[in-house]
Amino acid sequence: MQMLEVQDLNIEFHDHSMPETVVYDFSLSMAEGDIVGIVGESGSGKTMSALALCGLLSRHDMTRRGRILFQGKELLTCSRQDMRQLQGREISIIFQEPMTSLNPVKTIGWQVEEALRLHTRMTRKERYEKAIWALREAELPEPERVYGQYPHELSGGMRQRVMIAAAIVCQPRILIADEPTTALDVTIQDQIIRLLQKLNKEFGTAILFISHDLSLVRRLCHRVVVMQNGQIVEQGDTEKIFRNPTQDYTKRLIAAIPSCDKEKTEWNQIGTVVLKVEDLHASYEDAGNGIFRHGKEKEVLKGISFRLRQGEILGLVGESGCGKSTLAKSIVGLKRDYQGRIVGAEGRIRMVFQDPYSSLNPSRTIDWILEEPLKLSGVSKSERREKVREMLRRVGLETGIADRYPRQLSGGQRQRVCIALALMSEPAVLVADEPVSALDVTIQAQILKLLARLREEMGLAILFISHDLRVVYEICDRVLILQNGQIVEQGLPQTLYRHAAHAYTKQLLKASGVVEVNI
Amino acid sequence: MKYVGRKILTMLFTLLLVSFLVFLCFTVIPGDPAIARLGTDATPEAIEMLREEMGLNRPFLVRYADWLLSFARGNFGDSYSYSMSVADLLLDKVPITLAMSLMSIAMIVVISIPLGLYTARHEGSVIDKLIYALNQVIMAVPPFFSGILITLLFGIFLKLFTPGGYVSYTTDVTGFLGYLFFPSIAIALPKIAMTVKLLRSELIEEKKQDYARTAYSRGNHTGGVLYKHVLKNAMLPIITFLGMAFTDMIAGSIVVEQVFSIPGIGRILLTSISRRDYPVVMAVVVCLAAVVIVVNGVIDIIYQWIDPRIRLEGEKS
Repeated sequence: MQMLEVQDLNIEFHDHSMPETVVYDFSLSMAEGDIVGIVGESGSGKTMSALALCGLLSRHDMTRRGRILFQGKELLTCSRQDMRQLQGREISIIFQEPMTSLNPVKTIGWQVEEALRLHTRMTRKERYEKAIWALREAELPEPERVYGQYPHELSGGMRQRVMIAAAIVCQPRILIADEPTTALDVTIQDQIIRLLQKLNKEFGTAILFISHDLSLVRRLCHRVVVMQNGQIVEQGDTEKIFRNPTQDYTKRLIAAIPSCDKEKTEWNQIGTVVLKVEDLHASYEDAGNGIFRHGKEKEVLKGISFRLRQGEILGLVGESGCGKSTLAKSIVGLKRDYQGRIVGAEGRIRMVFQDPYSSLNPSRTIDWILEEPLKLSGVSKSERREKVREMLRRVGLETGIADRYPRQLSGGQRQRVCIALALMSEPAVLVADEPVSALDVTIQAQILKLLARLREEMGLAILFISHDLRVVYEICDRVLILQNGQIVEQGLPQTLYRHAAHAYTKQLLKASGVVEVNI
Repeated sequence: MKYVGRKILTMLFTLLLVSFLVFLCFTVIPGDPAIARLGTDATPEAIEMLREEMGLNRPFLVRYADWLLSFARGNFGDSYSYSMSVADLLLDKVPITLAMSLMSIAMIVVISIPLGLYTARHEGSVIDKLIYALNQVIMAVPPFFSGILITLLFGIFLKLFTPGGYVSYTTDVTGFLGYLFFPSIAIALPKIAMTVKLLRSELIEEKKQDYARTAYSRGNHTGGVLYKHVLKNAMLPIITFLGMAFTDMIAGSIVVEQVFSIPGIGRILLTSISRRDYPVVMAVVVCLAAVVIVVNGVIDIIYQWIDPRIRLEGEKS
């Protein structure tokens, strides 16, 4: 008998007058020690299915037709009490956002021990020992110290480890991981994947891994389920599906993964220098300590120099905290207290941000948003209309969306609007801060294509900031590797990726699984 | 500890500023205390003599320093209208108002936290809707009016207390507290309604957070998620609100003391203002300011005790 058997699970939401079905006839079976991946884009129903499995959806939302059998027990009809007995003890889940999934006002130890308090009769001392064991299994350094700390004192990667420790403290049979690495840097991502593999080997814990990152799924999972619009389109052995996808959707998903294997054709229309950054230093102030005293300065940029030429796409790669965003802010003028020189393209630098969901004013129409920069420079109304329409066409949007509001658009459309907005005032340089990392792979590929086309048509120079080495390989002509506020290595992607000299570059390449490098 | 020390220092500084402003105001406002004491019929010579005697002719800053120093020593000067020192006068009244405010705060905490939890847990139920409607009504009734209603209901119909029959705490403590119980209800009622409403919405908001979902995933039942996880997070804005409510209540007691004829701070303030008894008014205003500042300081300290994120900023220094 399989450990987990899901048959024809249907999930409907009844918030509105018409019930909205988000998952149709989902079926899945998992044995002890299996690692199964669910892939699909946002809205495909993968997270909803996972939440249903751990009893986190209201039963009201699930139609009675399907069945979830866990070790022979019917989860959809059992009593709530029985379900709670399984939650955290037999079935555990970790979530995408380690920053918000932990209670901010409770200590780590308290949270890791919670499942023990709920499901066992251990004494305080036994619980403490078990919690320390779990923290150690999750490979947290100094578990005794972490035990007494609060979530805000830990980094994102450490918090995700804490989540894992809390999930495995009762040694569950199955661990559901809902996009556990999406919010993390590549090297941390790699560590978390290894940790999950170790837990699977050591304890035989089955893992249901939900992700939109196909390369991660390929590395980790034995089997994979591909979902689209609430339905399973294809499932089977991971390698088989990746090599011979039978469904169009799967083929499209796989084709959209940026690849670093293909040769790049060099872009040969690079012109004069439009932006020159020389010996840039910038720092941030810590919170002040006395009433009148100031805090310590923390240096985030330590002497950055580079040039950007017309028509060039320059990649800037580094992990969180390396100073990427500070650099971008200094260049576009959002941060002014820096030392060093930033020359060229005065007033003709615009920025595109990572999150297309929150960077557009929700109470204004697309029309209004796009016209604003023109209003500021005093262009007449009819001319503004015409320009907005032209720009919408240019970024590949229907002109009909002009009178809609941002919330009526999809993520990809919003990012196109953000790009259009940045281009309204005809800039010479575009600073794009992680413009595609919040988007699904297929949308990602479209936006990258759009940026490449815009550079061709408008001779735009783009500073492309990203932590995704594959994306950078795909689009950039030259790459800068940034570590702790310094450029440690730079060059053409095709040479840099194959003959990396600096240890940090090698580490990044290895962690993202781009190229097998021996360190 | 350093955080607390710093807090106290800022509080003292604020208090100093307030005392200066109060002194300045009472120097500038028209009305000569010497005339007020002697009456408008007094001869200019007599008034001038009294001004000299009261020290009113000295330079402003000297008078301020003098006043501040004696104030710090607990000597608030003498009342113009009562023939006793301001300190003695107030010492008698402060416990009354304070007891009443503390009783109201206790009522708010004891009644509104369980009600808030209940309504948040049973969101959308009939009782939740009923409490919501009741809240809207209670919030709209000012304390003096609910005070009159309470006097009518508990005092005249049910005869649970004698309206106007205030008992001093020096003679009978239980009688004193028993009498104050009813005005405390009048003060507390609108605040209870507000606290329930605020706590309910905070709890419902916090319940949607990711960490609450994590708590459910470990096998907690709804009560466990609410009491063990959500409540502490939802309490942060409530504590800020209670701090503001407390200071507001002390100020509001002026009216309620009139309705229930309680000889507290509010009453003495009103009579002193109408009699231009400036030393008393000044002392009361500075004391009220001190209470507001101290309560806010205490709130900040409680806040950082509950929320470790604030604690960290304090300890970093």
